[in-house]
Amino acid sequence: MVYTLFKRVTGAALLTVSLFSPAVMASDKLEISGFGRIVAGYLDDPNVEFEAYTNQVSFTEQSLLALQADYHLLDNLTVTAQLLAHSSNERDSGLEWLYVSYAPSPLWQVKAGRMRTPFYQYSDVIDVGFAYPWISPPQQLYSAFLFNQYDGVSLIRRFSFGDFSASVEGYYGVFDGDTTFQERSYPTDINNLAGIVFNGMFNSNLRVRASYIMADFSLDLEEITQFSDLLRSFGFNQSADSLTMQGEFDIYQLGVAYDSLDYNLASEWMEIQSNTVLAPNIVSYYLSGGMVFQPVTVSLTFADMIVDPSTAASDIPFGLSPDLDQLYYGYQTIFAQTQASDLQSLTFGVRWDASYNIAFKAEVTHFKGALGISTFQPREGRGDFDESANLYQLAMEFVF
Amino acid sequence: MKFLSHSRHLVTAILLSLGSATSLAQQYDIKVVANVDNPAIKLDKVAVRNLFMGNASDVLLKPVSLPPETLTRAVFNTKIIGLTEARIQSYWSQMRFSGRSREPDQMSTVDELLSFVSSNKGTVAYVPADVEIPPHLTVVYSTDKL
Repeated sequence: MVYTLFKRVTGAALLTVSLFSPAVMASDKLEISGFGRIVAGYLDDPNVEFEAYTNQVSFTEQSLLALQADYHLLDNLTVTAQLLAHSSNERDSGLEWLYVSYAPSPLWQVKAGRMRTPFYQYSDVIDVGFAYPWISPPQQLYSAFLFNQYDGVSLIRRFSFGDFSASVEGYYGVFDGDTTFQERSYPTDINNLAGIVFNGMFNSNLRVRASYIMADFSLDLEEITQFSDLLRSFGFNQSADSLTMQGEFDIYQLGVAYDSLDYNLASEWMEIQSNTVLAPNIVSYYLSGGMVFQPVTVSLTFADMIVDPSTAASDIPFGLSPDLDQLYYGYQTIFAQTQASDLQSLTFGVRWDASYNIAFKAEVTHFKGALGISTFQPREGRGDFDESANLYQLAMEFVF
Repeated sequence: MKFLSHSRHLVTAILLSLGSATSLAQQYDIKVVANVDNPAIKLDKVAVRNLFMGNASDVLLKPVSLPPETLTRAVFNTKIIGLTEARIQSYWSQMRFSGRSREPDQMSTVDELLSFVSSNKGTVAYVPADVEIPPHLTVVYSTDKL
């Protein structure tokens, strides 16, 4: 059954690739291109799920197909739209990007509209699996944020000096929509999102990236908000505040990558700081190395997420009355459920570039970490989690 | 003759697809030609690389490329860019789908490439070292040290 599905989807994908490759030139003014991926995953622990993967083989968590249309109004003025169809329940299908881009010279570019937030090296191409070596980029960085789009403007300035060429991008915008995690959607407001990204390239082999982002955020967690309001009505403001997902965050990022004909090395580090108890301060990084045996690349990645634990509020007295004790336990339980936990992983992956626009990947990741909001979720009616699990994944990635 | 040339292409294609592009490419040379007013213009390897990778560059020339399966492109990748075709394709997918830059236009044969550069001022392309260059084009870089 699964095999038939895989065959059908693969067949459709191959057909799409062969029909359209390379980028179709519908006319001089309109360019249609796209990308897609079929990803299968299996988690070997029956007691938990990770990024919606369980101990049942699933093809739907990360598989997707996207079309991009670039319409050139003038030589230097382009409208771009990217439509994405996603098979996961956690992701909405629809318009991912819609922006106007104006490039008065090769050194300047202005974009305005709906764009992807460029948090880390691959954040704005997280759906384009063809663009990166892994099937799942290190979750310690790439799933630790709540939204991935913004509506706003972006300005890019490129420059070069000697062997070094670089670009600086500044952007400003807002996000008003839903974010989904643990299979539920929550209304989210991001305001005053401002960021700056520096990308440098030395020869074409050594790349460095540094970025800084800040924003005001507000997330309505519904039943948690209701409980927080209840606590406030009893006068337990400290406890109530600690269950509010509202405040400011800052993200710092540094990345370096070296690519040659025979091997590659990459590392990224990020730190999230927030003034909200529910959004903990996090430091994550990964180190990755790969050997190229054309057309196959074999790689090993170590990634780590260190969470600075938040302290629960202590203004609800314990042992005074059964009602208060119930409130106390309710608060402690909800607080514990909203905490993130440390996560370590070691990933071994193989990428086979079967042709210049199709790649096949296989990957196994060994995770170590406790239950937490962006890591392992307990499954109902199952046993205790021993805080370690392996995720096996297979993927086909294509661009056209 | 036609059959011979076909089978030579077939062999090249098979070798490229088997991934021995790098070692094969080392045996060949290419030159980079531009349609510019000043025939004294010379570029260094980094400038050529920046032009063809969509980076900022001091020279404003429009690069034109050959398709991925050609040997000349494999030589260019190996000797100038220093990356495998697969890595370059990943790079361009990142650039295109994040709206930052797009890969150079492609011409399917060296002849088409040369005639395009010949008739378009301010364009630049790479061709095999042994190809005859129209007199009004300038060789701005060569991998052949002679």
